[in-house]
Amino acid sequence: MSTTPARRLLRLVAHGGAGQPIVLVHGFGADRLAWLANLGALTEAGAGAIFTLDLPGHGQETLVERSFVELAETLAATLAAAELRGCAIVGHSLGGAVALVLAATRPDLVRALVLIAPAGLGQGVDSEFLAHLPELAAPEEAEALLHRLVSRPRLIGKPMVTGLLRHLAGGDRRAALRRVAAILAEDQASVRDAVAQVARSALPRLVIWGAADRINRPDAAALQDFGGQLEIVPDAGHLPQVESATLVNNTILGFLVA
Amino acid sequence: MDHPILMPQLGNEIEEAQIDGWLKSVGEHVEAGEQLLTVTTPKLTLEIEAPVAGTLKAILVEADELAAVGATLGIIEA
Repeated sequence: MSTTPARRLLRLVAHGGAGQPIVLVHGFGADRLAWLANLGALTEAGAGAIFTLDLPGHGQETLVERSFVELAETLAATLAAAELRGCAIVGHSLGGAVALVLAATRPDLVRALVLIAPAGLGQGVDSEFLAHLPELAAPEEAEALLHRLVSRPRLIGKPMVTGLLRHLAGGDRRAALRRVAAILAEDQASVRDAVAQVARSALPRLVIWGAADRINRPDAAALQDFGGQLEIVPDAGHLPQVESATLVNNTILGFLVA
Repeated sequence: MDHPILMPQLGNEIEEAQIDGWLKSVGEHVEAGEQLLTVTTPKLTLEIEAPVAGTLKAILVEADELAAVGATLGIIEA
């Protein structure tokens, strides 16, 4: 096991709800506000206490971690410090890979996994997308790249484009995202090991994937080996939790409450 | 009977969002669950669905205007 060089905790944001914790972990280039289409439904359903956070290198968090194991260690330390045990972790894309490694390394913290188009279980996250996003400068370029995430262009509003560019312009955020992209590209073995370990376990798991995902295409054989419940969302791209929010919210709630 | 179309709850950090655009016009028939409008923040754009089937009777918040969480954005007459 490696040790994170500067142990720190991520800031957890509580959104209400009571009962066992449900922690939402966003994808590459996003932050905790990526769950706006889901927070209301999940909180109001009373399925648990809902939390969001920014992954290292995203939102307000810096990046000191160098691998998926270190990212999972930081998440584990954050959950343990807040005394959140028996968490359902809902992870999207990059966040799905972190959730998988967390479940494999700290099974005591995780009672269920919901993985939305997770890195490590598909055909691989589009390397051109990962390389391009930290370098975005012009609004038209940012808009075109973000359109690749979704099936309907109207889901990428102008404020979203300017919001991303404003975020990238601050501090050393571009450098942090480049390093996160490098972890995604170079540390696939950690996620593969975690996938194999979770596949052998009895951990309840739900995988959700957009049928029209162009960023991380589903891999039917890998999904079959992984087991658990599978929901393929028709007409959705890489953000099914936004593109088909009602279906995805209901699927998550059905799985967690069952 | 009139049914309000509400700005959904967006977690405890976001209190308002901007109307990006209406996908239906006043007087048009809508099905329950059909997408009515998009709202947007600097982080995410999302669609809001019709809570019931009926006729879109009124649009109360136009495109590019801000609305608070819980605000009535329009009315459907069922």
